[in-house]
Amino acid sequence: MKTKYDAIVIGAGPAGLACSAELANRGLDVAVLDEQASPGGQIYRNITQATPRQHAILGSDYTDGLEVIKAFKEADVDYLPLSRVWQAEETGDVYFSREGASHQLKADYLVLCTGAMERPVPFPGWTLPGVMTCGGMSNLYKDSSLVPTEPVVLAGSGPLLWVVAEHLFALNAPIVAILDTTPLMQVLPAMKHMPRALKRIGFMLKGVKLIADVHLTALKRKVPIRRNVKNLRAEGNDQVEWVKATCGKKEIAYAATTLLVNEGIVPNTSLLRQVGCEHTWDPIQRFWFPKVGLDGRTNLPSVFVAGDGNFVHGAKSAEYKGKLTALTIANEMRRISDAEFEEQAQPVRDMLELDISPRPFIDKMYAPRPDLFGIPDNTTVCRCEGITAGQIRDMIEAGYTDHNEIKAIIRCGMGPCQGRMCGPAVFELIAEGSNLEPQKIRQHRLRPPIKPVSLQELANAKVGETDES
Amino acid sequence: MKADVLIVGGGIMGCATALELARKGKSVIIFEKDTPGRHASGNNSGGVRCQGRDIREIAIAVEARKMWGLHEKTILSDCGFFVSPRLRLAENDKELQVLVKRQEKLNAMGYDHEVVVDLAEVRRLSPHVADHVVGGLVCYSDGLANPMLTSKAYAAAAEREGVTILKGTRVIEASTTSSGFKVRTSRDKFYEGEMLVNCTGAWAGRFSAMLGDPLPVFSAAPTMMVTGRMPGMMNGTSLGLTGRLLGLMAAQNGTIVVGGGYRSPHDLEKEKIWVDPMQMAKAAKIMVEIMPGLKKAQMMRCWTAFEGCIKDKVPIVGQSIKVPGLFHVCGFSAHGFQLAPMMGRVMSQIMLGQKPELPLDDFRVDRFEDQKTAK
Repeated sequence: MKTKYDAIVIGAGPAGLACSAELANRGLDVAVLDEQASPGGQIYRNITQATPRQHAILGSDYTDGLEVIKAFKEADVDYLPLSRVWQAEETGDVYFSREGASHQLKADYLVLCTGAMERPVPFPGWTLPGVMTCGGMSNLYKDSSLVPTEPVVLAGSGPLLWVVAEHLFALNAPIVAILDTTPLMQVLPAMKHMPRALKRIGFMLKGVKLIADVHLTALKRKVPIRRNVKNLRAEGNDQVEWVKATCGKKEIAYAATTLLVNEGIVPNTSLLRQVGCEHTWDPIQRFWFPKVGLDGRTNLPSVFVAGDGNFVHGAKSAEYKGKLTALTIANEMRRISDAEFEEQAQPVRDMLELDISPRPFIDKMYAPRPDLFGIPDNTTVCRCEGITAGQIRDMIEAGYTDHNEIKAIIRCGMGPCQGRMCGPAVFELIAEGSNLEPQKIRQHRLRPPIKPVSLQELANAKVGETDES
Repeated sequence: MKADVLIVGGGIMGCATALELARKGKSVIIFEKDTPGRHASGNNSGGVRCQGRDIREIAIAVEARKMWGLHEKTILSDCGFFVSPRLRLAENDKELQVLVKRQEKLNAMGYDHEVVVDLAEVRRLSPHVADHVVGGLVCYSDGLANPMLTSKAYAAAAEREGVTILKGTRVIEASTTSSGFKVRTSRDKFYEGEMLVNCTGAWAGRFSAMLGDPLPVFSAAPTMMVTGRMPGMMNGTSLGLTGRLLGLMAAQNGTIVVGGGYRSPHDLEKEKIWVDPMQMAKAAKIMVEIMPGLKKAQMMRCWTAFEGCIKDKVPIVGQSIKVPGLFHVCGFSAHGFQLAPMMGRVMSQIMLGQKPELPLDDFRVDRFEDQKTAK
């Protein structure tokens, strides 16, 4: 294995694949590190091994990925699957685990294509076995054709909810109810973004058709779809037995053993924050996203970010962003001239701009509802350390407004996931309990390793010499 | 604005000093560029340890240990303190001799808190240490505390006694006046005081130079890590070594905090530290040798903090020679946390012109100059 590259791309989703292929085709030495066994990221997960039936169920949004995979495979890229990156530095150093050992690679440029994740939202019963995310369910199907065989409830707000509902209906999973938590009043303010969204009328119609199809199937199969749902909770002894919620003024309850939730998608910024990228607060979607231009540049000269990790725009946009980032780096390394760069970047920029035109509408329509983080006091927020919303509120009441300090005192966010699951909730609790504007609240600091590393593996690592003072 | 005493740095040394001064009737303002406990005070490994200290620090450490047991009364917080005996292992007979000599020396000075123990006692205290260990030196009364909680508790106690802590306020300029000192802050305000205390940790040398009194304090970024839960592995006993760098702190929840002198590259100006994982690889190597069961442990998180160090690893405590009225409490070289309660007390005594209850001669700012003349 080489130890030094022109560029290292982290993540083999659409952004990472497109970026690395483009870089390699410009003659750069490129390595791609990815956690999974095969390329595709979350959206095109397992695509190279998927069966025709999986392709048929998942449809063109999935199958389209074969194109970017093909381009990637044809390019001269050092592809290192099953590599867990646990630290990156602005010096271009990357540390990761692979085949039971720790490794270090170095590059002039790092491109972080770490994608997005489902917004983690604590609610009563969310830690019960049987509660999982819509995306998690989708992954199980992509990986191993797993489908729930016992009663399942879907709950949440956003496109992924409907996509997964459609797949599960097609697979004849026993859906007992779909609970849409989108507040009805959010539709109106979203409408002002409609004209721009209609630039991609095909995409919008596809979305409308998807939701209409799910409603039609639900009607045929007598599956209730409830709107304006609030106070979602899972109940049961060792496993989900009941899914309960409020719908309007009515209490609703469904017997089910699986609850699939999704409250939107947020950038996965763990590695970005660990490496030191500056972030900005998005007041609509209420997440932190890195300060990155569409060319992928961050505040750190050697670090670029592409794909949904930069802002959630979807798979196709991720691919365009990956390409633009590659062109920027190739230009910076003088592999293409400024004129060539402009000529080649402009069409990609145009496609990207068109592709993201519906996003403001979707972001506003499916903005996190105001009571999303109105978590009851006795609900666990930090599942690693078993810290409840009440304990966190007590700290905020005592004057603490920095998650880092709260963590140091009550251990909230100190476990293996390093606040990946509780971070957004703690942030919202601080925003709720203090008078601080969200962008003034200190973000939770990520410390390396961003994923646990075994001591045995670390002990076997080649130890570089460092000054000791 | 005016106060009797201006303290620069709201870490645990600054707050402990302020608290004692305020209780003795002095008006105090603390300037804290961030929030109390932001750096080493709030982010150290939490060791409350007498064992293994430089002989010059023993008297203060033993007195400070008594104060750790009284925090619930004195500052209204238990600071998360609990007893975890600190056992320093000897990995061969030569190292055991070093430990025996240390105990003899301490006994001769009148201290009995560190005792040499045989293999049976080592195994009783820490059943999972490796077979090659031959003995150890233990301090049964050592313990661990929560550094962030402790730093905040000292700051809160100081505020209750009337101390003003100006958070998010950096001192930009400091100068002497006919009646004391004058500082300008990042909020462009001026403050005056008769006495000025340098509690600026990693920034101590730089701050003091502003007043024409450069100190031999350099910055460092001690690097620590914590493991996942390993129930029963440490048996409540914290470990140190005699011949190699390593400290293993046995937290109550079963995790192990690892420290012991590893350092990461840093930039004091930008306030940025780059955690060097290869330092932790070194620590991991020693850990699995000392306790083979730790092969199964996971490194969960590394962290670092800015600290002020001095080459002989003992702090500077006392009045400046060059600038009368300027006092230093700095250069604790990554082991000041335990000493803090007592440092506050002796600082308040010397600042009020009293004789300190324990001698501070070994911590004089000009001790290095003495060495030069002696040569």
